[in-house]
Amino acid sequence: MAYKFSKRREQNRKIDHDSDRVDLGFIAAAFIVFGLLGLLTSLIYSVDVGPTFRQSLAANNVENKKEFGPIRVLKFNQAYEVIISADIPIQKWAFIEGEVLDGNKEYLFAFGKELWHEKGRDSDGYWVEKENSYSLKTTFPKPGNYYLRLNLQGDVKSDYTVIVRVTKKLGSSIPHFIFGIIALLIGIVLNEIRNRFFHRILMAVTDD
Amino acid sequence: MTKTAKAMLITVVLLAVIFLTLMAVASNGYGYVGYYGYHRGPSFFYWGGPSIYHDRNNRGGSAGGPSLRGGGPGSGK
Repeated sequence: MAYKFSKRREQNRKIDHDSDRVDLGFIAAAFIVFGLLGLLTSLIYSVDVGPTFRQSLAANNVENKKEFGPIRVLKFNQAYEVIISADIPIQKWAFIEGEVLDGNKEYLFAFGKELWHEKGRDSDGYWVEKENSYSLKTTFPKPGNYYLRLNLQGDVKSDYTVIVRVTKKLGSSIPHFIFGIIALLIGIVLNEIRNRFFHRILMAVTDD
Repeated sequence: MTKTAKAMLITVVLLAVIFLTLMAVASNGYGYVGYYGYHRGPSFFYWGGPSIYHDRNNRGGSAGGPSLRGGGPGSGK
């Protein structure tokens, strides 16, 4: 089949125009791949590395301001996670606070949270709820020895165990998490502009 | 080289540079308590942790602070 000269020129112009445009589908794919890579890397950074410091003690034996340590920090800006857990008995609570101290036992900062364990019965029936642990990720800017001083308030006379665990982290998971989320969002928006993926799903759903 | 190939190259290089730069930032413990000094809290993007007290003498609501934390079980169903 032969096209008229004017038709052929129009088709060639269209091909030139198409090759002159950026295919947003490829750019979207790059953003999505880097977004997923970012989220995966953030998970890797939250992995424990190095030895774990772990100490457990009975709550009724805890003298207030009991000290744990030392946490030996060997390099600048090393990330650690402090995990406090306690098997609080039913209908009891405890506010467990940790003070972070430097090598001279000078106060740096403190952190704390209430842990509890409850049970009851309501219109839905019997229920049990509890919060028996919390964790804090912290960065020690300088190498040296650090200590944790524990304060307990609440039901400290009951027989339960408080466990303090300190683990060294590869780093912070925050930067790559932010990067991953932003890159994924940009990728999804670009893909939507190019392929109208969600638009087509929405149309299919509304057609049904 | 088509415009798409050029755009892809620029995008991948840009994202790779940002990704690698963030590795140095992440290795330095960015965003956690202590990264900005002990008188500042964690990053906005760090959530779900316990309460942080920077000043030893102004810790109302904490076990070691001046005021007792009242309460007990109150967060259950």
